[in-house]
Amino acid sequence: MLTLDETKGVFVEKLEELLDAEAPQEADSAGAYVESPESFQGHGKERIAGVPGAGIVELAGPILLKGIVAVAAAVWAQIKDQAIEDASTAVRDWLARVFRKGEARLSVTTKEETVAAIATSLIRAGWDADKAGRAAKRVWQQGQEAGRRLAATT
Amino acid sequence: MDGKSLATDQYAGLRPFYQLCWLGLGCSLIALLLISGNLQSRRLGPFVPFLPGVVIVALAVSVGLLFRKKARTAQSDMEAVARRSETDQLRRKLDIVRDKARRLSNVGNLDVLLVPGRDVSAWVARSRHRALIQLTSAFWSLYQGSPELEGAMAHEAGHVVARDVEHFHGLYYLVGIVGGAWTLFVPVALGVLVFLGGSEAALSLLTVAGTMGFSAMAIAGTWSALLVARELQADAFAVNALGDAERVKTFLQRQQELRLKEGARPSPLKAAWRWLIQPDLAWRMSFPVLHGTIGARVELMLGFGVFGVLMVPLWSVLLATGVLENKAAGPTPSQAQLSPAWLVVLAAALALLWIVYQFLWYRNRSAGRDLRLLHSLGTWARLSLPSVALSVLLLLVLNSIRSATAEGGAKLGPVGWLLAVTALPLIWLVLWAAATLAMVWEGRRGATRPGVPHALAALAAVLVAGVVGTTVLFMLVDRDSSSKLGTAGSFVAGFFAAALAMGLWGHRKLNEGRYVDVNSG
Repeated sequence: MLTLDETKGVFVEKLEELLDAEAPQEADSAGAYVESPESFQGHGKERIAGVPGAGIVELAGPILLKGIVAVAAAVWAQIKDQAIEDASTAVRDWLARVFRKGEARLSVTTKEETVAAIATSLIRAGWDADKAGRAAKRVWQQGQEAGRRLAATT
Repeated sequence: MDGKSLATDQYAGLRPFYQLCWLGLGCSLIALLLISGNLQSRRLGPFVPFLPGVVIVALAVSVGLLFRKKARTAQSDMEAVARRSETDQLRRKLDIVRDKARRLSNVGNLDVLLVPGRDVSAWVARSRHRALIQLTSAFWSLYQGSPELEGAMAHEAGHVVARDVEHFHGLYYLVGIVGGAWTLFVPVALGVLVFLGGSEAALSLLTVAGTMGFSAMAIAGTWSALLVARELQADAFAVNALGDAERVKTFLQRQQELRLKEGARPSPLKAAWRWLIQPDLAWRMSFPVLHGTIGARVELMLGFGVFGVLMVPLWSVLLATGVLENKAAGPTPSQAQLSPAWLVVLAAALALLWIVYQFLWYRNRSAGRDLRLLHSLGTWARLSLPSVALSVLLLLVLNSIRSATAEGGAKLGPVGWLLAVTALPLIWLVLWAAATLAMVWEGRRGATRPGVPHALAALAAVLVAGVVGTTVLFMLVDRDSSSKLGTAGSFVAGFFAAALAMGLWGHRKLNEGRYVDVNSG
């Protein structure tokens, strides 16, 4: 059975590659985004002399991770029916933690529709349209690769 | 604990802040015990009265310890996540930052970790054992490889060098414990008062609630002043360690820009919390500690803390000894005046004298040979302003209540008002004069820290001069008169003139350069 560490390892690798290309200043945080996705939800903490993040620093990593995970999960389930249901509780919990409670998940349908949806969320986060379109395509690609890797190991 | 853990001499100036926080917490707990004891004493007899207070304190300590344990677990979880998520690429970059931080702080085992988080923050999680600086992902994304990162790391290295992070966090939990104890106390007090009944009991509760609120504000104010002073000191360390102010300044500037971009207004509660924990960035950029100042806000907050810390035991003793309630079943005023509980007030007042002296001593040392008279007197004025303003306000309120009630007794006359309004400024002026004088003596023997004997001797000298001044004025102005106002005026003017003259003399001597600024080395 696929362990949680193996699952995370796949996503760290794919997210790091994506960030290296699209948001290099965040590439070092790929591990943090995958290890603790809930830390990037909601408002940032009020710390001494710190600045809460919400609305100031829109980090690309958490948005891109959600895209990769959604696409990968769809591919994984497509290749191996029931694979996600059969995965360990830890893996399923982590997949759920990537998304905020009650948050509408990315609906993975056709490539065009999915890429357009990812691009829209990036544009909402302040990205310009060209860059968002290019990054969305990469998200699709990385998600596909991650899904296939996960399916191959289960 | 008195802040002796502050490792280096340049951080010794923070000691009075820590001491005031601890004293405030101690007085608050004593007040809780005294008041809870007083409320039960008539029904339950001797020894039993303090039991409810002890139980409440024990409960609050248990809750505080639980929170502390939870925070420690959260910290170790965060560290585990940070270590797990450290990729090879990140490790290589962080190692460079670690080396830099170790060199700046001279702490060999200092670690730096990148923790998940979208707030742009860097902070020291531990400064004593296995010192640790934590940076959030958002912070790293913004500042990696920039000169600002060096400025920020130098600032954090300053906190590591101070070795006071655990001390500071401990205080934070104790403030929570005291707050929790008071919160637990109110329902218990209410129950007891309902049991005892009567409008006087309601007045007691009002006093208890007032004392509670005042205690909380005084401790929070002192804690906030300490927080600001720590940040300023760490900024000064960073500038000295890097050899220039530019990188620290740019870092602060960028943080300020980010804050301005925040847009949405925080809720009033959040805004108040932010005001307490976040010193003004524009002001920090002027590096006030390097110019021998610490800022009006810190001095005012400290003055408020001093007044609050003194008022808490005073009110609680007044209440506990039955002076405020004046009940038939309670002790008579004469018994109340002899109560050993007054020793608490006396001890608190003496401890406060020592704290204020140390504060003035370290401020003067930081100012070194640039000590200006207005600056020195300004510090005195700002320290005393909250005490004076609040005392006058309190007197006005009490006087109005007295005049509004038939049984309240006489209102304050002109003599009473003269003494009431001038007493506190006079006390503060005497303190300033004594501190200045003591510093001259201590400077002559090359002392590197304030000492009790010289402080006491200087205080005695100023008091003797005050008595002489009063006598001379009385003989000159009021010899043939039996006017109480004239006598009181002679007393005030005599002490004021003597303290001012001695303070000015001491100030001039200090500026002659005999006093060595150990910071400059």
